Amino acid sequence: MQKMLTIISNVLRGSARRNGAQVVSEAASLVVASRSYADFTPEATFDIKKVDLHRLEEGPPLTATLTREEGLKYYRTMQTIRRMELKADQLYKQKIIRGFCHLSDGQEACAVGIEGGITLSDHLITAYRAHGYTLTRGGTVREIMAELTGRRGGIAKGKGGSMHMYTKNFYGGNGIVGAQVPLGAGVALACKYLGNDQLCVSLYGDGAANQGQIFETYNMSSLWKLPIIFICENNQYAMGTSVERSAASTEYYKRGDYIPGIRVDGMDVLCVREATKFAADHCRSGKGPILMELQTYRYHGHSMSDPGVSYRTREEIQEVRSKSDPISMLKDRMLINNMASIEELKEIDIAVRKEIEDAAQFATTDPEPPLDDLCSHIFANDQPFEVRGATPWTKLTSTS
Amino acid sequence: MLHRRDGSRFPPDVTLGIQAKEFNLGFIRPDNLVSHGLRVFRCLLSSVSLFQVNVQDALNQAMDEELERDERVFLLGEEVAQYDGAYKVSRGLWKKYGDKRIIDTPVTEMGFAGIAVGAAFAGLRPICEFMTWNFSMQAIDQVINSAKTYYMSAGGQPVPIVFRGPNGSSAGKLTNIYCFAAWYGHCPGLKVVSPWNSEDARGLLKAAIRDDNPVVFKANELMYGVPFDLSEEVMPKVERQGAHITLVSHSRCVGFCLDAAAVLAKEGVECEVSIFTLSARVCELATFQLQVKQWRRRGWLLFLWATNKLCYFLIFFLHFICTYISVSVSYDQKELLDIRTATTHLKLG
Repeated sequence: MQKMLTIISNVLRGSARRNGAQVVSEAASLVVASRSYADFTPEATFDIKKVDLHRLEEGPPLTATLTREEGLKYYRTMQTIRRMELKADQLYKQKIIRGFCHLSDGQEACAVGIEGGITLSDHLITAYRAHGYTLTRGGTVREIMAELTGRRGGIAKGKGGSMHMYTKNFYGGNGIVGAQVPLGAGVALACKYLGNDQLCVSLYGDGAANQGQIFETYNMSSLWKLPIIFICENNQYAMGTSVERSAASTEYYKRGDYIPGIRVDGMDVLCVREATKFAADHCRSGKGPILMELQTYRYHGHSMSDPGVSYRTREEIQEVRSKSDPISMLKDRMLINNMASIEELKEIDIAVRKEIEDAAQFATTDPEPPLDDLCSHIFANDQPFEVRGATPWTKLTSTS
Repeated sequence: MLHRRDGSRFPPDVTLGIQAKEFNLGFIRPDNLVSHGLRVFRCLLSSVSLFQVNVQDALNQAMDEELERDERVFLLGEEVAQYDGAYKVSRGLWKKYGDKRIIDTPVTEMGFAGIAVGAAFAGLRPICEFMTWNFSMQAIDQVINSAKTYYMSAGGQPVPIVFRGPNGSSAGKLTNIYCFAAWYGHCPGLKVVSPWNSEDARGLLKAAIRDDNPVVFKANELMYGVPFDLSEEVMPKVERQGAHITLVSHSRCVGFCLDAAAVLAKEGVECEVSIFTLSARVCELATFQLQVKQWRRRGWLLFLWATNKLCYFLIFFLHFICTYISVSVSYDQKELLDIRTATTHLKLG
């Protein structure tokens, strides 16, 4: 304490010659230098919200332990997703990204929390709000942004776009609402068939939850005891239709009927992580599928063509942002428990910002895929063949 | 002059040839007539066993062999296991391979077609059976969109799946009798095959299962019980030689063409019947190209897409052409009369 006061008074004496910002940063750097990492709490336990249960006697635990490393990792990943989505918004408005772009800022805790509960050898499939999941499943920001701008450095070489990003054990990115759920069950069937103790997480939204094929999938996965976790990301709005206006029963975690369900606060990364761990244990023990509803919120509209305020109020968005923002929640938790310093988190912010800027730069300057790629990859492991172009005399070649 | 179905005409600017390469199913390729002849001759000489197998059993054999060969292959569909297949195509397979590999599904096409595609994503090689292709309409999104994944992932995610089932008309039925060849044939990225005889059925199904791409395999229910000679060789695709008229068709209608050809032969009109439209990709006239030098086609060319019984009509029609229009006049190869017959334009159930 004495040491700190001496430092500060020295700095302030010199402040007459320099501007305020320099002073503060100097003071900050001095203060940081004076604290070692041994000062931080390595681990802390937090109380998390109780989940609602359906056909389950016990749910996930009511407390979650977070280590400093995990906390910083989650913070960095969530901040990366947030900044990446905001950058995509910016690039879209500059017409550098075109087509469909569905942003998931506000829903970062879902992507990061789920990944915290499973491993990279497990499988995941989701619908079109997929940028965050592509990142948590092993994609890099550069590849994702280049894919959004449709360049050859993209994760799908510029051919997939926003809704078709694939990595190992991540099956996109699917355009048809609800179609990814039976696909996820198919992946789970393969896991069971091959006996590799892996599971599949199949995500869908509150809008897709009304799709018939999802109920067909509930039936078959329950019948065959497939290792699948159904996750409904309930962000309260299916495009512009609120849950009250689209669903007769808004208790999405109970919609599986004979499938056990839990309803979780999707804005708290620790809640999501504990619930996912619980669900993964349930699946791996051979009990069959389980359903999780994550109550979350998206700040942007449904997609870039939707301002997001015609069916909800700005006040509502502001309220959620101020009270339940996932990144702020984690940050507050870590600061209050002395697991990180504010400067350290700021450093992470700066590093993330730089990473996103570099990625955006790459995404804007990378060349587009060559014209030869137009017809390639139609068939796998096939001989090259001729493809008719737009007119009968235009011939293109397809390679596998 | 080419005549389109809507009555418009346009002259072809290039000699037409079949786009058989589009589906590149390995060893099934149109062969030339000389090799055809030699092969038949060799078969006869070497007395390679030509035993009679009906189409149903040929499909059964193909699936059995592929299930044995590759652990990743499995069959799912309604009634494929304990019922032995709604049309007995999967008879005996459940007893041999068990619940893990022959899976009875509930009556939820969209669900199980999606599950089959997902299993293909994760590395298995499913055969998804639709009881008839009419029911595939419930799952058409999953079938069609299985074809996009390899392209949209730029080669990262192949989908080695086979969708099979009976297609087209049946005996005395008014419902569930659509022919979906043209529907699926128009989807890029989807390989669509529609075999006629046991040889083609067996060979194509094996090729389809081994192919790393989504294949739509259509048989015709009425062909299931029809026996054909099955040899170990894969027979080429000209079923009957002839110099005056070439009849091109797919699936069950090939049988009608052969019947008609037999009748016309008595009239002195030689029909060549070819079934190399195994791929229903070729519905667009503009892209339908005949390998003229391979088939040495002379005379008139009829495309027969009919899937109802029009044998008698066909004979009458061809007789009409031959009587009133001289077929002995040779003409420039570019002159091609396309007469398409098809089902009457009615929507039945």
